[in-house]
Amino acid sequence: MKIAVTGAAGFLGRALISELAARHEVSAADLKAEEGDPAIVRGDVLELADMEELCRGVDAVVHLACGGWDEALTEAENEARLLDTRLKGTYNVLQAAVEAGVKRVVQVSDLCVFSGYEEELMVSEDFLPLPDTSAYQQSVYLSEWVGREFSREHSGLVLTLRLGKLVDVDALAPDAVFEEDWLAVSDAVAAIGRALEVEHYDGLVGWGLYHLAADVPQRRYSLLKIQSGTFAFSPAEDFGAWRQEV
Amino acid sequence: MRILVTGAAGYIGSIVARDLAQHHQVRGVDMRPMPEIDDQRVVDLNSYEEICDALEGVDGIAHLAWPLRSYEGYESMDHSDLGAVRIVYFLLKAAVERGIERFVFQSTINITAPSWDDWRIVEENLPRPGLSGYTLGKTLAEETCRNFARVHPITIAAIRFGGVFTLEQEGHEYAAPHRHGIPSTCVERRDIAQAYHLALTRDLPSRFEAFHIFHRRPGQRFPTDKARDVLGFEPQYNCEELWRRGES
Repeated sequence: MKIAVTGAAGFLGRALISELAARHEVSAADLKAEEGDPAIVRGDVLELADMEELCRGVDAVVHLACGGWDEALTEAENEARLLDTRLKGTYNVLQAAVEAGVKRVVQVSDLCVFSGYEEELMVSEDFLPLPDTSAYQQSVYLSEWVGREFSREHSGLVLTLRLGKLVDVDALAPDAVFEEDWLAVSDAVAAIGRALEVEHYDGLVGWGLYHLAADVPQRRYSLLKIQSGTFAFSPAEDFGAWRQEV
Repeated sequence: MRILVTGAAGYIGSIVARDLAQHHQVRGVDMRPMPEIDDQRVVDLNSYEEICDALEGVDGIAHLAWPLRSYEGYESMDHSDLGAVRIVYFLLKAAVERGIERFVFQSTINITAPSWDDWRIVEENLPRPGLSGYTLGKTLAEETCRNFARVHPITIAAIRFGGVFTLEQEGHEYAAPHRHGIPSTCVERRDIAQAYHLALTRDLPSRFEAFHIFHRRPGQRFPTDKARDVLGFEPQYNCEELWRRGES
C-alpha cells in the first residue's frame, strides 16, 4: 500500500513511519520537517494544497497532526493552533483524501475525552465523551465530530483510534508509577498498522471507533471492542514491571 | 445587565442590539462600525486580546457574529466556519474567567438538515450537520457551548432558526419564505430579538438548552413548544403577510 502520514515528525509519527516503511510505501509530512530529511517533507494540514499533494495516489492516510505546544508562543496562540490544526486541519486532510479517492483515513484521537467520568467507571466506545474545556481536549473531541461526519457521507472512510497516554518503554524510568491510560508506543504503532487493514468496523457501520490502552487487570478503558471484533488486536506491553500490585 | 452583542452591525444583530437596548445596556461589537449604537467597538474576534477587552464590565453575551462572507477590506481576517468555532471557544473561555454567567449562541436549524425528510425534530435530537462548513461549524460551536456549560457555572442557550425575514423595511433584501426551502423555520427579526432577551434573562432547566425560534405555524415538523413553555417566547410576526405581498 501507499500510505500518507501527517504529523510524522512527532513522537508517534517517527516510530510509525519507520515501522510502516518496511512493508509499505510511505509519504510522510510535518509542519516541522527538518532540512535535508529524506523521510519527511514539509506539509501543513492548514494548507489544503499541501494535503492534496500528500494524498495524491495514496491508498490510506494516517492523520496524526495535532498542533503541539510551542513555548515561544502565547497561551492563546497555542490554543488557537491546537483548535485550528485539529478542526480545519482534519477537515482539509479528509477533504483531500476524499478527492484523491483514498479508502481509509486513520484518525488518531485521545482517550482524554473521557476525563469527565468518575474513575470507578469502565469506559467503552458507547460512552459519550465528557471532555474538559481545555483547548486540547476540546480540539480532540470536536475533531472526532469532523471524522464522524465525513464517515457519514463516505461510509467506512474514517477509523478513529482513541489512544491512551503514549509511553516509550525503553526510556521509562524504573520507578515510574503506572497510570491506567498508559499505552506503549510500539502497541500504538502496531494498532495503526492493523487499522489500515481492517475491512469492516464493529458497531457503527460507517465510522470505525476503537479504544486502546494497555491490557491490564481492572482497566479503566474497555478493550472488548478492539480485542474481540473484526479489529482483533491486543496490546503486547502490560507494564508489569511498573504496576504496583494491589 | 450589560449585554455584549457580537455581529451587531449585521442584518439580525443590528435589530437585536436595538431591541435589547429597551431592557439592557448594550455594547455592540462587529468588524464594521455600528453608528446607531452608543457603546460600540470595532473588533476582530479572531484576537483573544480584543475579545477580553470587549468583555470588560459585561454580564451576558449574545453571540451572533459568524463569517458568512468576506467583506471588502477585511480579507486578512479568518472567515472560515471552523475558525468561527475557535472564536466561540475563546469567547466562552474569556467569559468563564470573568464570571459571566449567561451566553446566548446563534445556531441554525440546518444542523439537523440530513434528518429533515425523516421525522419530527425536537431540540434534543443529535445534530446531523453533514460536511457543509456552516452547519458543521455551528454544530461544533454548540458542542463547545455544551461542554463549557457542563464544566463551568455558565448558562448557555442556543437559538436555532432557518430563514429570517423583516416586515419593517420595504424593499430590503430578506430571506423570504418562497426563497427559503423550509418556510416553517422562518422568523421575523424582532422576534429573534425577543428570543435573545428571554434567553438572556429567564431561568433555564439546565445550563445548556437549545431552542427552536420560529414564527407560529400549525403542524410544524420542528415544534416550538419548548421556546414557548420554557422561555415564554410568543412570536409576534408571521410571514403569511409576505406570501400575500408575493401574490399581489
